[in-house]
Amino acid sequence: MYDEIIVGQGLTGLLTAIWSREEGKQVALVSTGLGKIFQSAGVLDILPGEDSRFADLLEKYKLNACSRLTIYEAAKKYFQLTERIGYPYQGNIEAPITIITGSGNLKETAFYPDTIKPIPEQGHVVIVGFEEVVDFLPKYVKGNLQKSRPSLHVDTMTVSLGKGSSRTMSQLDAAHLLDQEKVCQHVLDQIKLKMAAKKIAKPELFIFPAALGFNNWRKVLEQATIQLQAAITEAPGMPPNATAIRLHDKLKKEAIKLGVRFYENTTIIGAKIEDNKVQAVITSANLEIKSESYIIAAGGMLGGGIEKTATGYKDKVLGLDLDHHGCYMSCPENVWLVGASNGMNVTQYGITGGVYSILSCYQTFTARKQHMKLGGLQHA
Amino acid sequence: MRRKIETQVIVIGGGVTGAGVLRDLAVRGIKAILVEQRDLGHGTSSRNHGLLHSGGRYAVRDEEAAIESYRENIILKKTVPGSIEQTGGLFVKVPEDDDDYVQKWVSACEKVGIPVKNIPLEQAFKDEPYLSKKIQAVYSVPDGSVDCFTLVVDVVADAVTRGARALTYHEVIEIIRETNGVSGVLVRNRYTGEEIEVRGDIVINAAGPWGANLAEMAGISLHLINNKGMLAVLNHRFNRQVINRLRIPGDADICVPAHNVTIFGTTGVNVDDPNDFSLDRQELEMMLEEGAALIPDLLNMRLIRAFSGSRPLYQESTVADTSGRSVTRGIALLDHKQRDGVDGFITITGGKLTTFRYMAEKTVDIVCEKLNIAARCTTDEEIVPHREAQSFFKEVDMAPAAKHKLFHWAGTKAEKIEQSLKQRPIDRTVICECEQVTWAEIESTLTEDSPFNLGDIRRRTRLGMGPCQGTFCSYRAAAVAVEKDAATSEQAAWALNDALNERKKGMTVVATGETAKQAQLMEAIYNVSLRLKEGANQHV
Amino acid sequence: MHNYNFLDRSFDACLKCHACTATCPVSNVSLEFGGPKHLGPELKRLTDNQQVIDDKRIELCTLCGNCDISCPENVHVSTLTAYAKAIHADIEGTKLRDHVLSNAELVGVAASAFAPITNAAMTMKPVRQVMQMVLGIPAERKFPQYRFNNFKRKYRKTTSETKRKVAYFVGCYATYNAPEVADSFVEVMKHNGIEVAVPKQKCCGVPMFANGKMEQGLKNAKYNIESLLEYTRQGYDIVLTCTSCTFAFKKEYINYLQSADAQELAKHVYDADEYLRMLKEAGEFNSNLAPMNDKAGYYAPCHMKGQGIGNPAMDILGLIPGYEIQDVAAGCCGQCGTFGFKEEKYEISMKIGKSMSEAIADADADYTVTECGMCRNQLEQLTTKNVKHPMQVLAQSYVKNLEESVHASPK
Repeated sequence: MYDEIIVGQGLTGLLTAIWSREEGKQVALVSTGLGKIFQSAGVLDILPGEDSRFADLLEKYKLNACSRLTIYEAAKKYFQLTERIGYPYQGNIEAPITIITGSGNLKETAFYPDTIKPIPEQGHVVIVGFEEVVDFLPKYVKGNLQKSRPSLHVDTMTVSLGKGSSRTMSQLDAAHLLDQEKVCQHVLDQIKLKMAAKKIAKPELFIFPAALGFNNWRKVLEQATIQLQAAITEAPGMPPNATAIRLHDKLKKEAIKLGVRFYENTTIIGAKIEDNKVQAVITSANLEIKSESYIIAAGGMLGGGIEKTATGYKDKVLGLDLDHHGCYMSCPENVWLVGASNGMNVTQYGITGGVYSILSCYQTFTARKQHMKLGGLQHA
Repeated sequence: MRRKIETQVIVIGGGVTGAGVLRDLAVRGIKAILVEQRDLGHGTSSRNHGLLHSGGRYAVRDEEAAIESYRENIILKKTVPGSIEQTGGLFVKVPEDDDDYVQKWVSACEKVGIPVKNIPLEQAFKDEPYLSKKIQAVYSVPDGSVDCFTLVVDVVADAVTRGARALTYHEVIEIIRETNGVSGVLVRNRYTGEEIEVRGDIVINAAGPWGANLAEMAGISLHLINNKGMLAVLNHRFNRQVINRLRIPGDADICVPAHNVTIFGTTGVNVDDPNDFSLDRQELEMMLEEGAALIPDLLNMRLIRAFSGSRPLYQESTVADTSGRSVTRGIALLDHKQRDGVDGFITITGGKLTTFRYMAEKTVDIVCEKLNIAARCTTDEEIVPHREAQSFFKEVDMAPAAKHKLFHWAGTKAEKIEQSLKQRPIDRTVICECEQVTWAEIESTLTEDSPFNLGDIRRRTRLGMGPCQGTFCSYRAAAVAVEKDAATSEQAAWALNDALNERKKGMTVVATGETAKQAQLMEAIYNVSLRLKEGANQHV
Repeated sequence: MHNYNFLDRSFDACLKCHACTATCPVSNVSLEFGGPKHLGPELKRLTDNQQVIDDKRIELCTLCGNCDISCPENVHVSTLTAYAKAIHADIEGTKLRDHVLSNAELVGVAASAFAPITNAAMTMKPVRQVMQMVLGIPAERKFPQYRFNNFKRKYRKTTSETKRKVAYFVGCYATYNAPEVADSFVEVMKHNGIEVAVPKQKCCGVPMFANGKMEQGLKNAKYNIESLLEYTRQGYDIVLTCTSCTFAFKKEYINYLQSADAQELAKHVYDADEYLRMLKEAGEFNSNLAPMNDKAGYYAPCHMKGQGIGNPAMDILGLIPGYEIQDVAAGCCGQCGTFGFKEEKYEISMKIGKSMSEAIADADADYTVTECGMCRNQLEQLTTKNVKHPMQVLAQSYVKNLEESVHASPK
């Protein structure tokens, strides 16, 4: 029925689906939920929670030397995709940049969207918070920032989005507000007034919550850059971060338009296996879905593909035996593992970094690549 | 040169016992200071079921304790309404348990005077759908649920209102002795390291499991057994009423609803160190297995954390106690002048959360004797201010659930909180969505003389007591505190790290399934997204 | 007070991951909404076995189910919000308009009886203004037309004689507003050698659930379950042409009722395209489809996505030679059943639907295809392209093929 069935709608699942579909394959993506990208910062780290180089990843995850070349191809392919879907990412695997998080603490990341800028060692930055958003508070951010950047001259200000919220306003909520031109202008006007009042001259960088618009992020970014005459960065932190959700939104839409079939609200609970090949996967609604290949992009424990029990790890996708690293003891021939589904060895703080995710997607993609048709209007 | 403080009575230990003593002293007009090494309720007083015993549990085996419990049950429901939910309780017979015990129990309750009522099974299933379908009999009793955090906090607060004084995060490092006996204590501020001399006529050792340590500081050998028990917190409140297993009291036989969760336990094992709050995975699993007979779904329910507490059991070598005044077999009240020739030093330990008031009454009676004060105990009538505040917040535009919480929680701070809510939008922001805690409420718990501590806030607001154990709200509270100049960046960082580590301890032992995911989500958010370095600024 | 302490432990699994709120179409356009996380698992936990809390904001939930789709932990968010609606409706009561909108079937019967008048009136400005004033239905809102010759009048079969037997749950929309969809379905079935039976049925209950009429909706649910189980137990497959109805049978009845009957029935329920795909996989699908050189944009209804069946419309329509179709990858249309007809919700409905209209405009297509009648209504409100049901396209292809084979045959 399908050439490939992909389990999981996280970064790895979506990338795998898109890339396979681009090769003309009939692809179905089965998922429960939307993947941990929704809690992600929207940047792609090497080793998560660690300032690290690509060599560290290779060593820690014991990846082979070809990964050094593969990551460039994978990154290029990823960049081309993000460029195409209108949410361009950039970055050099060998030159991670230092960015500010929503807490004010700094971290290094490898790939990042246009809304993310590196933090300078010196100079003048202004942290702008919104009165309505408690997940990003300028004074707190400043305090932490200055621990890493004592030379940096930091000003803070809080402006109003002009809209009360009956729920605890998230960065994503603020992003949707800023999509509105009036709200955006209102915010920028306040900033300029406060700049004048505080006699802040020409900072190099403005630091905002991860909320600079959702659909109209580019316009918001441009307006801010032009009017504030400085570099602008979002500081992703407490989920939800608009930085990450824009990515998922764009990737998912691209996959849909390309013709990937989404079986949403669907949990794979097992598989029919014969001759060491999966014949079909079984959903919680006892539906059988058949395919030639099965790609497990279920995100490990945090993603939901693996459950930690008192006696060890349990495979929540195919129902097969896992070792104490959460790896399949015996993986069927036509099953491919992507990202965190490769076991706990490739996770840190419950996640794989985006870099490994992309690398893993690309490596399995090239390993099973065949010719496919591209999306657009199709015949099925 | 050390700072000195003079008072009449010094109470060591900010558990429910010490709190009760402090309030009783204050109500009787006796000048007193309470010193606690950490926050109020650091010890066993916040590490228990929170069951306001009707006495049913002890009816068969300990008639006296049953009577005390039932009596205090009635008093506390009346005098400390803000910390007690009158849930009612059920005693449920499962096939595995002794059939004979049922009748024995019923008789004993009647004898003690505890109201017992047989409940039809169908009604029981309707009221408590998670009960095993195999149960054979159900009886109701007037059990209740105690918020042990608010109990201690409110009792101390009331005492302070009446003139007492409380020093938290001040550890007694020395008991000052003079030729005649104990005359004070030397305390050290855990945050600043400052040492203060507190002088008083009488020192009351209400250090619970640490009681023996304090006695030893006074040169007294006191034998206390610390019986540690584990408790598990389920993510949701699956029972409307307290559910007890109708059998001889043992392990894993109580489910107590506590606000939005259910606390299930417990176990019992003797430990040497009162600081031993360790948790054992095996023990947890045995407990769950045992409990499944009563609540089969227990094995599938989400546990958000586990914790343990030590029961301080006094045990004297001689069977008869001629030196001290044994209140009951469970409560130990020791006047060390008589027992050990050390004047000005009294130990009160044992007992129950439920009987704290009574223990305090008896202790302060002795103090009055020694100080020749005629004041009588009135804590059986005096009401600790209620937390209900339904006459406030009506005009505040805020989320229904958050307002609902304040209606039942704001208490004496209602007016202050309402003022904040009206004035500033950020104060209306729900910081902790699981427990509907607004910034205004958090701010109302901050004091100038104590550094910013998320644990202190949690105990007073339930901040972070939801399924994610404070992942989102701990961070928000810390950040808002800095934004509002209620804390420095360093204080906030320390507090956040401290809170996260403390929460992680309780999550680790239950980290399977959802809780394992939740723990990893917390890790990812803090280590990857917010980049709060592991161990950075950590102080223990 | 009624007992709304319904049993649902799915909320136990909530990780507070925000995915549901991030994808909720109402939350994305309005800060007045409490959001699925709060109005679902959080409120349930705060009130389970405790005091009831009524949150008026629950009115803004459209029961679209996107929160269910986005939850990685299988929290049945929309089930929780549906019950919250019930609680709210019980406490605050129901407006006349909402009574009316809840009873789509009754309205359908009446309106179709007076179809020419109904339809004409619905396009008159003064009438619409009065409706807005009296009922709170916005004057600008486009209304689906009613057909006097509704499907129930036309189609009377209650049994099938063919090998494959299909019991068709028509739904209010196809009955009263778009009988041509039902006709096309019957036509397509005929070309596949299947006779369609139409059992006794009542409104699926979705409009009732949406307006907090839980008890009323559950009554209909029980009626329909009982009626349809008679057929399934005789070997019939239950097929529907309205994705919201299908969603009700497959998900809502199970979650709301938590009964064995609901679960039994669900196993036999198919969306029309899903059924055809099943036929194809079984080698029983009639592939004699004439080429069609149309370009179509497919709009996926929320209640199609929520079923977890992939994209059967795309799968089936893709079998037509020369037919080009692309899923426009749009979010919620904003109509959301009766939600979009409410004055105080109209603005939100329009905001929600904006991205859909942009996606449709971006697609290089002649017309739009979708299975949901209410989505069609919004598409017609916000886009300039025609809207077709997949069955209509398929029927057209079958018919065209037949005609062509006739012409090709020697006289």
